Amino acid sequence: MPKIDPKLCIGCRACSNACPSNAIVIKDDLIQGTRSIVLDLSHCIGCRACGEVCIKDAIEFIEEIELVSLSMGNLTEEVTLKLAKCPICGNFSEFTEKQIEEAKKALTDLPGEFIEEIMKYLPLCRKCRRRYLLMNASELSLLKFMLKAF
Amino acid sequence: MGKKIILIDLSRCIGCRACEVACEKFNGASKITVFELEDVLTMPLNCRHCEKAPCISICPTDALYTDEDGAVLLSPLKCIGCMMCAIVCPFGIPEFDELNKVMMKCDLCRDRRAMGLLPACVATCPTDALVYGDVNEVLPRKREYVAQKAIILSKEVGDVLLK
Repeated sequence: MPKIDPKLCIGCRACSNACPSNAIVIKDDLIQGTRSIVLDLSHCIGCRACGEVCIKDAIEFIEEIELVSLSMGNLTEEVTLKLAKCPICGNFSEFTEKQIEEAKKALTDLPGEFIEEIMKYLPLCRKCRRRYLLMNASELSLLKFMLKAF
Repeated sequence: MGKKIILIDLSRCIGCRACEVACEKFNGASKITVFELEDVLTMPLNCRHCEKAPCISICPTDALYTDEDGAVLLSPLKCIGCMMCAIVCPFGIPEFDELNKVMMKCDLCRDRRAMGLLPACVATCPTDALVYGDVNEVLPRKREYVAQKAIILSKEVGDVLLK
């Protein structure tokens, strides 16, 4: 039976995608800004697909578990993570804060100046990234440059 | 084989969204979006197929790779849908496919390139705002165009300020 380690889990929903019996469900609350990963053991078929895909090895398997319980609450595990807030528009984006931290750590292959540039984009939501890009597009920045020059 | 790119000419885009329709017709879901900036500008944006792509470097399962034309492709059999590529993409391009539970992104119309055709968005664009070609041919054209524009702009701005 799988067990999610809430310290390691970054909320990337890869396990939920892999689960063939929908035992792991992701629920996003865009008003409160939280993402909860709910594992329902009564649906689990023990195929270990979730552990195979987990990029942080946050799922461990316990061999002995008692599946008889008087309340359903005992058979579910829930991990709640915070969603990242876009600093420009203030809406919650579709990523968790831990995912962004993980991305910052994992980006090491690229040259330094690229990483610096990408770090600026990381906390922004999809829409604000495009807005930021358009504001810095070559033709517009040219216009800004011309206005400054005179 | 050189790297192939799609160049976006912002000043020619009229925001008709024909590229989105063509992409959806050919690929099933639109992988190019026209972004509007408060009635000032419209910008069609698809995957830029970066040379040093952050999505390739971060992918934990090596599902992203480049082909011989320099296009960044995604292998749906390897993808686990962890969204890391969407987080690091400066353009926010890879999107989650709810049906197949993997990511999906522009593949620079792989099937059409194999047939010797232009990508669907480029073939459709009525104003030639999207230009497809080898990076060594297209970029000098862009530089020339921007330089001409700078000369015109400097004259106009100069005229206004001198009055």
